Amino acid sequence: MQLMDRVAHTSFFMPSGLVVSGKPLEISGGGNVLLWQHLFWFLAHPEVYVLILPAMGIVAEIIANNTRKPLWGYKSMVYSVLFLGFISFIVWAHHMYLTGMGTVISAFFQATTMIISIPSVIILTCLFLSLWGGSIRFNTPMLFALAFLPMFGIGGLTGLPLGLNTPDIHLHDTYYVIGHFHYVVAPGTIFALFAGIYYWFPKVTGRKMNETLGQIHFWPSLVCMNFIFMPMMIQGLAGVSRRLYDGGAQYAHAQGVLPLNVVMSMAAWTLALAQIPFIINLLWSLFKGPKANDNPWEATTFEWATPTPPGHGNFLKEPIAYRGPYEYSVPDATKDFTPQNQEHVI
Amino acid sequence: MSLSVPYLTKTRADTGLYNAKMGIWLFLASEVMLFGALFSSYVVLRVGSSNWPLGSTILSVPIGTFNTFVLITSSMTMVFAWASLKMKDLKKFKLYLGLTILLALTFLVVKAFEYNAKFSHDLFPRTSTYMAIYFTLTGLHAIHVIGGIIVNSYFWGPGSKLWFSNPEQFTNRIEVAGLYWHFVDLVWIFLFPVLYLL
Repeated sequence: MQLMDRVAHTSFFMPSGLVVSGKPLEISGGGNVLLWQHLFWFLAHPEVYVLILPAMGIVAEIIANNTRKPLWGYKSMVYSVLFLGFISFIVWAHHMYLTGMGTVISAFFQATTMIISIPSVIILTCLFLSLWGGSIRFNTPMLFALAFLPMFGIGGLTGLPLGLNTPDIHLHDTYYVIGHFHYVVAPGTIFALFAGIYYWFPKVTGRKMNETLGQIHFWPSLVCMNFIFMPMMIQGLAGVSRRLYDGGAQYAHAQGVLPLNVVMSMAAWTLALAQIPFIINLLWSLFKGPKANDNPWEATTFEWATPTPPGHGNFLKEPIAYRGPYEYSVPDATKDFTPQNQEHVI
Repeated sequence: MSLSVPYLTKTRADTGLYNAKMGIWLFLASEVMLFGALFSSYVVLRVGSSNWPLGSTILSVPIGTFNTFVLITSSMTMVFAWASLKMKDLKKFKLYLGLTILLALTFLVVKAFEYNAKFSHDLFPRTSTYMAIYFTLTGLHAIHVIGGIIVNSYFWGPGSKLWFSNPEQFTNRIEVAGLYWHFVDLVWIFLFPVLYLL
């Protein structure tokens, strides 16, 4: 529709009676400006769930493997994911409380937004409870997966004031929004992706990544992320708008919190430096890393039943699933994991 | 283990579908989102307008009705084409798929005359929001019709060689192409009353 507005000079998004430089604009009018935002967020809100759901899957897989336990509440997690996917289509206008679309519509989207937090909390709670009583292995993928939990938790909980339309009047378009979003996506999604890279690297390349470099990557990343995004929330609560090029230097309410920009900048640069060990690790391990066997993490799922790295067609022979994917620490077994394709528990 | 792709003809136990059918349903779901967004926009624009014209005062209802029948008939011939393959009759299949393609072309020719008539009366997308949504929706639909013609022509011509090596897979391809074609037809069945009658 925007293409049509540009190319065919329709006015889907331009209302009647526009005056530019003192002259009435030569358009047919009748368009709706809000429609553009509605269409944008109807795409872009479900899209953030496209970012987070695979990340949650990676974290769940790695937590099950490194706690040597089945996931706690697996079924409720699956239903929560399905429910999240569905309801993510009817929360989009919580981005638009301040557009003047009306209080009744705001109330509706506030309700759906509060409802969508329930499955998210269920998933996170299940992952936390999965840690209970586990024989946890603190390797690099697990560290990233563990850091995902509190960081995504902060991201999710700081979303609640934004989802309620009254506090959003204060918080809208402030640095608080930036802080909230990045807590969800940076230490949330990106940490899960790092966890996934460290976890599946041996399967993909046939070589293990270096643990020491992994830890040198992880700890500064975790600390720096907090020093970047937590000050943003403090600034946002003080009312600093995200739309000002100078961060609001001329406003009195911003004066107390603007020095935090120095903290954020330093943390951001340190965060960038902290990625260097990761890049070195990735390239060095690709060529010089110690050889990995087919199942270096002693996992149960099918991908570890392939040769390493997997050839064309993945499996040497068609695999048969004799059991579910989380047979860790089965009582009376000699090993603490029983792969899905193994016929008998030994 | 053979390296051929599984479930080209057999159904998967977990989805209950063969690969291509799963794929086309997912694709059609995304198409529903695309047209759904445009239909929703139509509703928003119309509700917010003070002088939305009655479609029948601008567009020709008889021509629209004719085109509706053309498309519905083409959907029927598409099913006949698939049924002919099920009955192992490649000749009949070629006849019916050929008819489908011809009917689709007829639809486009009629549509082109309609567009031309609008332009000659100085009715362009920029004329009004009604004309804008009319050209956007029918234009997008016409692009889908063209896509269907290209796919069906391939299966009518070079693609039909597959019939001799793997008839079951070819029949599945026609079924999937048919699902797409029925979708394009269905979109028109919504477009016709929305733009011409209401």
